[in-house]
Amino acid sequence: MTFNFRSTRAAAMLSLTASLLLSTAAHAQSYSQSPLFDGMADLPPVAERLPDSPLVLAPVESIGQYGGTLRNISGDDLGWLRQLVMIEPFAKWERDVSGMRPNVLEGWVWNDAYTEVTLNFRPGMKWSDGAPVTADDFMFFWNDMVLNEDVPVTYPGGTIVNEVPMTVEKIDDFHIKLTFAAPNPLFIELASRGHYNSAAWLVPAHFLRQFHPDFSDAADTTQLMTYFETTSRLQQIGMPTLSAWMVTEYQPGERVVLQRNPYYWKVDTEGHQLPYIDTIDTTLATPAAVGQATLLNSIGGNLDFQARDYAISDISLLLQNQEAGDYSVKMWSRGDFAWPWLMITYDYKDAGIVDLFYQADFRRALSHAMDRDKINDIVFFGLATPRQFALSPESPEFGTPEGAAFYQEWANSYIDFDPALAASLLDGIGVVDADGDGWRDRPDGTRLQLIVDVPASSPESISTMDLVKQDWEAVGLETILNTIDWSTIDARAASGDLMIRAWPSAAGWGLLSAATVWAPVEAFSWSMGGISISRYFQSGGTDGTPPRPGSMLEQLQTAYAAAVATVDPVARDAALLAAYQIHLDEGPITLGTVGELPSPVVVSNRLRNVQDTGLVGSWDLGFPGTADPEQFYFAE
Amino acid sequence: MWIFLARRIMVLIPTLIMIMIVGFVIMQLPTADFVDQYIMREASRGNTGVADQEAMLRLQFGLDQPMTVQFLHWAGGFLTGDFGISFADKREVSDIIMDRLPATLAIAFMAFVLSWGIGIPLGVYSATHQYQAGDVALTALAFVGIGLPDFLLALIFLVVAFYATGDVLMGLSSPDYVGQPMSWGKAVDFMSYAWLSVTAVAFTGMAFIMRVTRNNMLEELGKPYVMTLRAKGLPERVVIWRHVFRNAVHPLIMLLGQVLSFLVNGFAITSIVLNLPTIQSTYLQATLSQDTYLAGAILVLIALTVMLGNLISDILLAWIDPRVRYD
Repeated sequence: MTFNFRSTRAAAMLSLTASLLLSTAAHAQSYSQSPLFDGMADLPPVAERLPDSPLVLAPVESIGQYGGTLRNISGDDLGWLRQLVMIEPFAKWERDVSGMRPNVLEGWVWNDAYTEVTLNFRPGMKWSDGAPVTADDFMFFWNDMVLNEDVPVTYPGGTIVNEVPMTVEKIDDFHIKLTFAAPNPLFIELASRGHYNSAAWLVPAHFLRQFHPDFSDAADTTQLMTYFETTSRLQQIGMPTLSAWMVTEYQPGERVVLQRNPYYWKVDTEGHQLPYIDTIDTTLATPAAVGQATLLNSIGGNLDFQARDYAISDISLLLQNQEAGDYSVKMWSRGDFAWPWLMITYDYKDAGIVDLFYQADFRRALSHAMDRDKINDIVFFGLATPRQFALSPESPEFGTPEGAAFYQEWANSYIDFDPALAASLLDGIGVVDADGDGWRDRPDGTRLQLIVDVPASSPESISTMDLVKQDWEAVGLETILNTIDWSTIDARAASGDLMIRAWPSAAGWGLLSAATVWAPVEAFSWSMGGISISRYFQSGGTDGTPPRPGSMLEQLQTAYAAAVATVDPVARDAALLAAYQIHLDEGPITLGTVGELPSPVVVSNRLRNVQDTGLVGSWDLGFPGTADPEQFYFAE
Repeated sequence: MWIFLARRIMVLIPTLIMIMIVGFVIMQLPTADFVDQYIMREASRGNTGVADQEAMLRLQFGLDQPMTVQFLHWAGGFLTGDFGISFADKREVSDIIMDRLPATLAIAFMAFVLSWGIGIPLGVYSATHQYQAGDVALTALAFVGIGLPDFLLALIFLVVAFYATGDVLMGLSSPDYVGQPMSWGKAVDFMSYAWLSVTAVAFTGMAFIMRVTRNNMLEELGKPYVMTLRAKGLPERVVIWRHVFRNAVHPLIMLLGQVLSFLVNGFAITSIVLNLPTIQSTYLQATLSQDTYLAGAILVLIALTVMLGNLISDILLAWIDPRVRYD
């Protein structure tokens, strides 16, 4: 068995060696199962239900005991329940996000050029109905869902390189080779994000064929898509799964109950088949009510594990009631780089404004005029960190000492609250009050108004922007807050009517998650710099707005292209830091406010093996699933 | 009378079609559609890859078609009883509505019976004891009830009940009874949750009914025929209930027409803040996320109840009051 990880860090190698050793150890011993299954006549013995070499999971604290029901609350789109139980990708993030570990795949092997990867599935692994998991399940997904033009599924992220889709070749029942048109070294990492990449690709072909028009008399793909799509998969009872628990009851808008999967393919270090906990009992609430329901039920002691849907303002109440509610609060992190993030758009329709945006001194004036400590104290109860836009600190390229040092410098650049400096910077570029109305004007003497679009759905962004408006107006910059519906902001961004956008809590990790937040390279609404500037890059210059020649935006696009083309991990991290250096030298190019907010997690005092750290700002890192809920257990 | 009825029913159909058209067009007016919103929501939580699926999702839901084609497809489905599917969870719209109707009707009906059953006698009492201590107290209570929105009252009840008992009375049953068949235990459990929303909604409703009844009664009580009746020596009970109340009941009958639509569309905000599994919370969410078929079907249902309610109250008025006649 060969592993080939992108990360060459010692920690990853150590944990790898450890899991290999443990895997051998577990193999020699016999396996045991939950007493719930004892005496079930129609169930094969546990050793036959497990794969030939089950995944051995080391518990966070201790070997657990079977039983219990884990109560939690999820929004009625089941978003956080999906993140709790559906995180079973090809490879899983380490619990501290320091690298990848094998999961559904026993391993994977790259060729030297990183253009071919062979995926090794686990022989003997089974779906929750007992049917074997084989390469054919993935071939069904690829040939009959993705490539089939009658099925509305397109190429998933990371499978198209240089505009050419990967080719998929079945070697035998447990090996598949993927071939890319050019090096694609981040494929496994990209495929491991959230519950919606490789966690969603491996589907039970034997089950889905019943609903596929090519294999059945189904009239259309409606039923097939209902089972396939991640957003509706948990709502279906009876679909075989690889998750630790399977849905046995679903009452829309009210409740979901999941019971343990008898064929789950992981064991603890003593050979006990996981999960420890029998049942997940999830109460559902509408988006409008979920915050209220979560808070009251938490402090009332009605929940066992709840990682999301708290407001920052709930933290004090949660801490106060720990004893009465018999729970503890663990402070995980949102891992966000800003809340809100102020996106300056360089494709705004008014060239005079764009002229100012392209001047570093103007942007620095905006940044120095903001009192970030005040924002932190008033809006976030002092729980955030005042900082510049600089990605999330957990991004892997900041893992080395020089990376960490660079990160510190970047995150703290141009953030001192200094209105006098801001005023002098503005004076220096001719942004002065020309007509004596009390507001600074453009260098040509015409009126200057800064218009910031703020989503009405984010109270924190609105409160923050009220303070920023005061600060900017204090240095003579007339500021207008346009608080509107999110989709209207998106439409304004697409049409060039957006000047500055306040994007709520934003998280980003180097190349792994939405690289377009630090370089204008993908035409999405979360692209920094402007959608049409990104489109220019994406289209190879045939469409969209070009960044100004020699400008920092053009430099960023070039630097991004260089970084993604680098195969060697160490060289790639260096290329990334070189790209970020543009933000430091020319910066800020897009504005940060405060970030790195804590995220409370309520854990019943009876619940064990819940780790102390986690990152929940973005779904990409798979929390709380990455914390391995299958090894949570209830003490007596 | 029969001609009047036939004419009214004939008018219902074009009105309903107009409502369907206007409702559908309004839902299509925002620049974003369901798919845009879905992608925005997923992307804001980290699932940025979903943007690649945009065209496929539109294709799947038929949102790539021109608006007229979408409308005809939707409206045509109504004729065959096919209301389409919800984009959000892919269930049949009719299933969702039927799923939500029982709880909606149960809460609404209890609130209706309570508010009318208590509001009318209190209104009569208030009017017959004008400016006495009882009337003043009831009037004060009515003003509180009209002034406080029912959802605020519900929230206050929720927090008070939480501090008193530790129970979080959101939703309409404890988790163990969700999806279980009806039983004595389930009914008791349902009532232990339902009292909160019913009381809140009934309180505001009662206050309103009480004021309307009081005003009408006072108007009638001042008329000469009341003095005549009393002079004839009729017992006060007969004067009030058989004569004055019967004359004062008109506006209440008019209000009764709105009850039908109240049953499916009242107490929307209370439903939402208390996470009640009712049609109202579904309607709001479907509208916000532009889940067109689901929101459209509920809109049609509400429109139907409004129109039928008005028709029924017209008929009732004619039946109760011989002076009212329609040509």
